Amino acid sequence: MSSRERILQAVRANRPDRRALPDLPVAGPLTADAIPRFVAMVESVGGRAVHAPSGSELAAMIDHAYPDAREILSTVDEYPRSTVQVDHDTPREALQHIDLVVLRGSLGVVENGAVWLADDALPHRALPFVTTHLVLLLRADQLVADMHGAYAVLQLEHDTPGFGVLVSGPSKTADIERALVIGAQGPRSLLVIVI
Amino acid sequence: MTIRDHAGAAEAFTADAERTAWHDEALWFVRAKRDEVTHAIPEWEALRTIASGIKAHTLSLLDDYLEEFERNAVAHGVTVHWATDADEHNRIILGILRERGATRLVKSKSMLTEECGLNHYLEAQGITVVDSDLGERIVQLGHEAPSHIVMPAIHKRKAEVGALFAQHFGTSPEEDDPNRLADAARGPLRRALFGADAALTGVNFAIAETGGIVVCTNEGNADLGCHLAPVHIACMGIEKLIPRVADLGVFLRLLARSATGQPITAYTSHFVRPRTPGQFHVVIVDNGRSEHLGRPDFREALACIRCGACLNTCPVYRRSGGHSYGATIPGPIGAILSPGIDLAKHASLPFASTLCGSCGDVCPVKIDIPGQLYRWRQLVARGGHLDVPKRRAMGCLGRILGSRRYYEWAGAIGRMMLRLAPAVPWLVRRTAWGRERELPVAPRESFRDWYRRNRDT
Amino acid sequence: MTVALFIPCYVDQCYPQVARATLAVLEARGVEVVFPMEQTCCGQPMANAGCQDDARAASERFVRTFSAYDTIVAPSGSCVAHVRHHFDQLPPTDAVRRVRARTVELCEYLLTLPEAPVVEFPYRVGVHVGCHTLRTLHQGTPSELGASGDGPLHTLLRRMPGITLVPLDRADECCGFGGSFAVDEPAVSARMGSDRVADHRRHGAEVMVSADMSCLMHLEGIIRRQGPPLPVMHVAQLLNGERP
Repeated sequence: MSSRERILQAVRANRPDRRALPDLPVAGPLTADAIPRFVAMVESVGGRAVHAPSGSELAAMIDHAYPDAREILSTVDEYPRSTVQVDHDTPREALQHIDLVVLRGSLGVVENGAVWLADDALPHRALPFVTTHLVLLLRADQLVADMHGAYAVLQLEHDTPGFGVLVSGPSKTADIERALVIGAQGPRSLLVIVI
Repeated sequence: MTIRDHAGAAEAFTADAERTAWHDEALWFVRAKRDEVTHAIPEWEALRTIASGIKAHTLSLLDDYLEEFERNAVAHGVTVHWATDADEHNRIILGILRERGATRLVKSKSMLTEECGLNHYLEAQGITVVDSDLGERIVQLGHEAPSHIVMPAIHKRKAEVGALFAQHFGTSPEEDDPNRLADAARGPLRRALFGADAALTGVNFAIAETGGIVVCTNEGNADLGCHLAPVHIACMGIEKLIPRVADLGVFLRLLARSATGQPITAYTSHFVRPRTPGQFHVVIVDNGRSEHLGRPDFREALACIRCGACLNTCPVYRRSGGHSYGATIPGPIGAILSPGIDLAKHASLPFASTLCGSCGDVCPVKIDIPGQLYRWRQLVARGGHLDVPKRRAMGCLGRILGSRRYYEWAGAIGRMMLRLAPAVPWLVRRTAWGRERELPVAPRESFRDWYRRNRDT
Repeated sequence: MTVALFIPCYVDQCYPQVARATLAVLEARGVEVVFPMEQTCCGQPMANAGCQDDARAASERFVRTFSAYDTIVAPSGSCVAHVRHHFDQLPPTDAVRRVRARTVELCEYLLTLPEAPVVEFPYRVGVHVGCHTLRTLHQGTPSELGASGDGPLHTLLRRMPGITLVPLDRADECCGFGGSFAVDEPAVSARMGSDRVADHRRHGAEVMVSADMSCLMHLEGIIRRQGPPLPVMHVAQLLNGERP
């Protein structure tokens, strides 16, 4: 008998009587102050967030925030400043020194400041993690109140991307004496721009 | 690490009073943060109840959900493996690596691979293993096991980390600034992540309806590993299943808040299909879990989502340190899981508790940890794993307290001895009670003697 | 109405003054109290040590002794918690069900009675809440479940003119007694106790008060070993007009 069969058989023999699957909570309502609350939440998890209504100021703002960035990859029209090209087949060595990545998120969660990025927004899955600085653009109408709202909108059960990630703040660690250090192995900073 | 019983190992840890105080305060701080963020969510208790219900439901149909998960994972191009025990798990991983000629493996946090002893196994086969989570890397360099399931190196002071890094990363031996130390590790860890032949991750949740897995990290090391290496191997216990994607909404709201007081981890990665080009393997491991499922009094522990909240709140864990548990999973949850793996070896763990009950209150999936500790104690005693003197003492005490005559007689003698004890302080200090505490001052007359004299007519 | 008084074994033998105070406080409120002489112990010392079978004779004796009474009052939350929650090891006879349902912790019971004459207590009091009283009997809300809610012990103390309840850094941290834990793991147990005492001292407590004498037995032992003196008292003693 295969290990698969052995495990399944043991589970079948030992599983308890059937228990009902509880109903899930409904998504919380998006309040009028959703944008400032989202911005505050991103900052509380170590990121920076701005509510920037105008498109032209946006590019200047990014330029201003990362004056030393040399290897830049942007997938957003508002910031056409890519200096490197990346796709699935780009060898990993070429990703090692990327300074700035600018991507478009498709959903933001007010309760935890997370932004959803999936395969369709990622020329290479490693991009949000390898870069020193990450900038995410998000439309204000893409905010949801909480995680229940997030999954209700994403509908991954019907159309799942190969990969998707919720990004809440920059890379961080508290593994040395519980002291918070921003920029562990991944990005040292995160800027979320709500437009 | 040699396995000692909890009391002995705990005593060794508390011998360093300053470290114990720091350890206690550090973890209490995490608990306080957890309190603050969870109390800000009015529906917190309802979420716990729902999470507990989803896990109970999943366990009641676990075989069906495992098959559904496998079916969907395979349809998405994932290679699914099944391992009945630690040894098979290790062999499967070695096989995947060998097939690709992989010799450099980076790992993100996985308590399961700790449980299976994967690192030692692979290293003996010539594979270089680098734990890429900073805390895991610290304990790996120190040839230690994690002492906490979320903060693996919480037992180490920054000066000790500095000494390790001086040796391995060339920092100054005096360096003890966490920021600069973490920065010193960033380069070598990124180099390992960029140069690996394969990346291994744990699994926080496996979703039956998509065949996908979710991995939660703060450092981004799991993603750096598996999006850069040609092979991603994810290892999961059979209990990681949840039925629906939408269930994640409940568990992800609970997990990080319970663990560290964060609203969610920095990265919550949903892996469904292999990247192009690349391979994606999932190893499903039993290693005693199906047997545990068959124990009605204890099966609920399989609902654990490894947040570590019970460790942080446990007044014993905070003072005894994680290594005192001599098991992969320390703390209260470890004390109810480990006896199921080897009752004789872990017989002291259910007693490493005052049964204060706080662990059960903070558990995001409402595992009755104190109840299970109490029940495991009964099985330890019935299984003959108690120390003989304690076993005899309890038998004797039971007979005395079961009889009014014996009780009154023993009470009188006991009070007399307590009155004589202060005359021999050296002897008092050699008892377990008197080592650090004075004995009660015993009265000449018990309450019942007084009552008999004054009231009983 | 007649109330049966259950005095836990260690209180009977080591702290008769607490038992007498309990009796006096109940009688001062017009309660008719009897102390059934056949009682010994609820069985918790053995059961918590894993030896439920050895606890059985004591637990059965408890049931026999008390099953005829409508209300059984004990000045110990931990023992009451044991009777209510762990007597499921006994066959569920009517008698067992009765004593489980009718055994009440002293403070909880006192709150069901009309308010008694006020007793002054002009001291700074550090309140120690026993874990079983808090988390098994659900007297109050543990700090991990919400902003610390006061239980019957606090309510009774707050009624005493002149009293000041000092705030603590950790309102409901375990003292480390834990029954056999105190002797199984003396190092950790004593460390927990020292930390608890230090919290009370830091906030200027002049007396530590609890509804659980077992915690106080452990804490008092630590205080007397380490010094300086800090009196410990059972709440019944305060209500009975005693002073530190």
